[in-house]
Amino acid sequence: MTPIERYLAALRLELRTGRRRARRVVHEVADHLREAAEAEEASGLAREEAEQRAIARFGSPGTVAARFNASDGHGHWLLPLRGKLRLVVPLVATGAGGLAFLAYALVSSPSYEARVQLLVGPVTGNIQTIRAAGGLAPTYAVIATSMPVLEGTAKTLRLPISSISGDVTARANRATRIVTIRVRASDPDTAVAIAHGVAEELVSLSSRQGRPEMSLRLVGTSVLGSG
Amino acid sequence: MRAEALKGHLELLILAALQSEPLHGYAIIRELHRRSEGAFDLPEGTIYPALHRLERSGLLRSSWQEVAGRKRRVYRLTPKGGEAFLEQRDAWRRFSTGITAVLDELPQTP
Repeated sequence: MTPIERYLAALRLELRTGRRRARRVVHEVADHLREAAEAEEASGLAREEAEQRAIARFGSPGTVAARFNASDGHGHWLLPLRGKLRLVVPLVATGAGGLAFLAYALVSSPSYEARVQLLVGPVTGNIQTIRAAGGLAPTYAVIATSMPVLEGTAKTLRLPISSISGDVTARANRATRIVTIRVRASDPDTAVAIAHGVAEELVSLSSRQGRPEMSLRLVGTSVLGSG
Repeated sequence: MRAEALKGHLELLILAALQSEPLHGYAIIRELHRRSEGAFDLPEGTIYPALHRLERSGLLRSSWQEVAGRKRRVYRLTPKGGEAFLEQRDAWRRFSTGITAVLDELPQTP
């Protein structure tokens, strides 16, 4: 497999756009990467290196797929924003100060939401392990928004802790053993980066335990937004 | 211009790049690099979701074309896209004139 083929396979896995659109996306991206790699080759790089350079310029499969997935997610992001507007309208009625506040609220309101889903425990296994894993899912959801995890994430991303702590939420489903981490931010890259950062903190915590029912694996990333 | 600042205006930049002729994604990026004298440094992959979005909102149309034995998705402006470009360009000019005026009022920093 060449680096471009590997990249396309990874991208295909991350796309949540429906089969027909995914085919078109992969075809277009393949065309782009080959052309970019040829240009790099023409400037003197070996084929392998040329492909890697083209890929580096393109962006990671996760980031690119998340943007495609986001443009399929209209409707969802509007709900929280509408909620926000309803709060703001009575304030506007109080005068010019209200108007300034409306402008501020519109500019500052995070309008992207990244979601990362983690599966607790092994994909298959004996019933006790699966049950124990399900029981641990809510614990992981609590840990996801705990200070040490948020601080670790902020440190890795070199962001101030204040800029991420209010925007991270997590929920667990015992039956499916899925922990969903949601991060709201004003741009999609930041939302995805923080969500992945939190997920990585959790995964590294869990791998230190070395127990199958405590293991965590990434099962999906998506971002919804207006961008 | 920093990547952050560029990102918000990606759609306007794409419409601008397609003013003179239909292009495929890679050519649009090359055009943006050239016109911005290298300041355009977003991850190149971000252009495709933006192209698809513009197409869905009716500002662009696209079709597969065979160029040098390779199938390419080529994008062109629709009449609606042409109008949107002029409108957004004027809005941007008014905005940047406003910002420049404010900055010029500020005391110069060394």
